[in-house]
Parts: sequence; C-alpha cells; structure tokens
Amino acid sequence: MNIENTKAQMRKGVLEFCVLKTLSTKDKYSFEIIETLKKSKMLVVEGTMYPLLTRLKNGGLLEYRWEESTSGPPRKYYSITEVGKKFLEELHSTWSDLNKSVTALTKKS
Amino acid sequence: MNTTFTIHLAHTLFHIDSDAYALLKKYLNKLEKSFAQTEGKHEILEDIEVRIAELFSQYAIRDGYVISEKNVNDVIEILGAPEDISEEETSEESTKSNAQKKLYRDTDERIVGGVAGGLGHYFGIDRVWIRLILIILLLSSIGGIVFIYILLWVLIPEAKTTSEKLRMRGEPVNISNIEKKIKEGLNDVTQKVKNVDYSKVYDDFLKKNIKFSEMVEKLILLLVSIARKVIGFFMILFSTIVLIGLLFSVAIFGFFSSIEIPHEILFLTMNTNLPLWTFALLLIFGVGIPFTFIFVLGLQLLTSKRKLMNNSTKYTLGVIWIITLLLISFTIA
Repeated sequence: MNIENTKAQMRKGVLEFCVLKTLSTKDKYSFEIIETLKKSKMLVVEGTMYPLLTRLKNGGLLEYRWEESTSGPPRKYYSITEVGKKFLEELHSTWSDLNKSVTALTKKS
Repeated sequence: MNTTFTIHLAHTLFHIDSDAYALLKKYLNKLEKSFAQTEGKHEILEDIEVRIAELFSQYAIRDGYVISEKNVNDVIEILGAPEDISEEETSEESTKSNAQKKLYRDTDERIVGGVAGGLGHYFGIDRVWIRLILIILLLSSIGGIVFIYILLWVLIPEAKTTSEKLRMRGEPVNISNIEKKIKEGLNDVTQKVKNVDYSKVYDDFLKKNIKFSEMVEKLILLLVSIARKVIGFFMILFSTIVLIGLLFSVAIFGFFSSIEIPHEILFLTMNTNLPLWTFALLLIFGVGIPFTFIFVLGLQLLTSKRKLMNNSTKYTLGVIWIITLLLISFTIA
C-alpha cells in the first residue's frame, strides 16, 4: 500500500466537485481554475487538471470558448452547462452527507 | 558550446537550447504514452502544450531569450511527472481489473452503437469480422438482427471511463479461452435478458431522452448506414473482380502476342494495325479507370471517409478515360 496513492485517490474524487464548484459562479480559463484549486491546496501538480477538464467537457458538464490573451497563446475559457449544474447539485448533497458521516465517525472512534 | 533550436508551441515561437529541447521532447513523448488509452488524448496534450507555451513566454520576456534546461525542469515540476498526471489507476489495480474482462460498447470507434466493437474487444477479434457477420445476418434474417442489435445496444453499457475501457479491452485472448469467453458471454446475455427489469429499461429510455421519434430516427439512420455499407461492399467486390479479370486478360494478351499468333484471331484487333501493347493499354485505361472509380466510391461508402481521391486525380483520370474512349472508337471503326 502506498499512502501517496491513497491520498491522491481521495483527492481525485472530490476534485471534480471542486472544479464544477469554482466554475458555478464565474467562467474561468484553465489556469485560473488551477490557481484557485492550488490556493485551497486541492491540487499538487497542474497537469492532472487537463485530463480532468477534457473528461468533464466530453461528459457534457463543461463547455469552453477561446479567448485571445494579451500575453501569450489564446486561452480556453470554461463554463458550466445545465447538465453540469445538476451534476454539481447532486455532488454537493453527496458531499454534505459524506462529510457528516465521516465527521460523526471520526468523533466516535 | 550549445546548439539552439527554434520551436513552435501552440503557434508561438521559442528559442530553446539542445539539452532543453531533448528534455522537453522526452517529457512530451512520455505524456503521450501515458495518455495513449485516454479519451480525448489529443486535446489533453494540446492543452498541456498551450500551458507550456504560456509558461515559456513568461520566461522569455526579452526577445531572443533561449529557453534553458532549468526552465524546462521548472515547467515539468509545475505540470507534474507523467505518472502523476495520468488518470490511469495504479498498475496494481489495473492488472486486477484487466483479468476480469467485461462487455462494454466501444463508442470511440462506433458506426452505430459500438456494439460490434465491444463484442470484438470481448472476444478478442477484429471488429470488422463482427460487422461482416452482422451484415450477413442482416441480409439473411430479413431484419431480425436489427432487433437483436437494438437489444444489445440497450443492454450493454457504454465504456465511458478509462478503467472501463481497459476492462473492455482486457488481456489478449488466446484460442483456448475464446471458447470459454463465448460460453460466458452467452450466459451473461441470457442472464441479463432474464434479469432485465423492463419497466426500468423503459425509464432509462425516458431518462436518456430517447423518445420514440428519436428512436425511429436512429433506426432510419441505422438502416441507411447499413445500406451504405452493403452497397459499398458490393461495389468493391464487383470492381475488384472486374479489375483482376482485366489484369488477367491483359496478361493473356501479352502471352499470345509473344507466341506470335496472328492478329486476326483476337477479336476486335482485326481491323486495326495498332500494335498489341497499344491495344492492351487502351483496354487497361478504358475499362480500368471507370472500375477504379467504382472501387474508390465503394471504399468511400464503406469507410465513410469523404475524400479518398483528390479532384485533380479525378479530372486527370477522367480526361485520360475520354481520350481512351475516343481512340478506341477510332481504331475499331
């Protein structure tokens, strides 16, 4: 058993939820999403975000548009779709339930 | 001394020294490998390249700045090692799931619902054979297979995630356990048909928003696409036979001429003084070109690729053909 691996697995499940959440208020381009998540210590390396974003986009939860940038190549701005919003709602309730159960469990033991 | 390269990353130009270039190339290659099984691989790699370009342009504020090995190392540290980025499960888990192969639909390379691809993966044979069998069944069973196909389409889940795709592909199958797999597979399907909760399937249908009209539309599209494939198949078959026949007859022409049989025996050449090789050439062009067109057209129908021959080739062949026809009509008359 590798502790790093387990940690990564734990984080991975919640990561999709967090990405959708950060996009629920405002459209962001990929690096902004990464920065937000990095600040809240959800993300260790940037690279993991690109496959995740592509997967969410292919799943119809996100969509993107290109925008020119003054410094460097054009940027992909992601926004959440209606399907994504529903998905987020469900994840949110799952998360609250999970949070409650785990907190209750850790208190007991 | 160090050589400097100029590279394009995400349409931006960078100067980079040879060590840094080698490192970057190695990194990108490794990334490509680790995403080999992932859906949307090109898009992911493109996104990463764009990000690398963005980071590079932060270093290269000054014109003519040469990206160094240290810069590339920094970028790799920010983005993460390929092992960390990839979404694949750890090797321990994936080998375990590989051992147990599951039946999924392969929607990545589907024509209709990805059933043939999924079955192909499951039995470890090329999907082309499954499709061929389906077409033959379609022709011989007067459409009964369409119903079975739709049933399979509904029953077999789609391989969405990477682990599902890995499980769908499974380990390479050898002949001895193909038989086993077929038995298992049949059991699976019969079990599934028995266990199916029909009201739930109906609900799923509604949930997936496949309304009746959409089903009909899908069915029509399915029939059209099958018809295309069948027609394409026969066009290829027909034209291949003609082309092979043509080659043989030309070869026989050559044979006869070499053993000096008088011209008069070969019909059509009777009224002409043309040498035989010219006639053979006319024959090749006159018959070969239209059937090559039929062949290509059939191939287009079968593969649903739009362009297999560019316009200039088409026009050139067309002009040659018309000239050939004119020549033939002159020589025979």
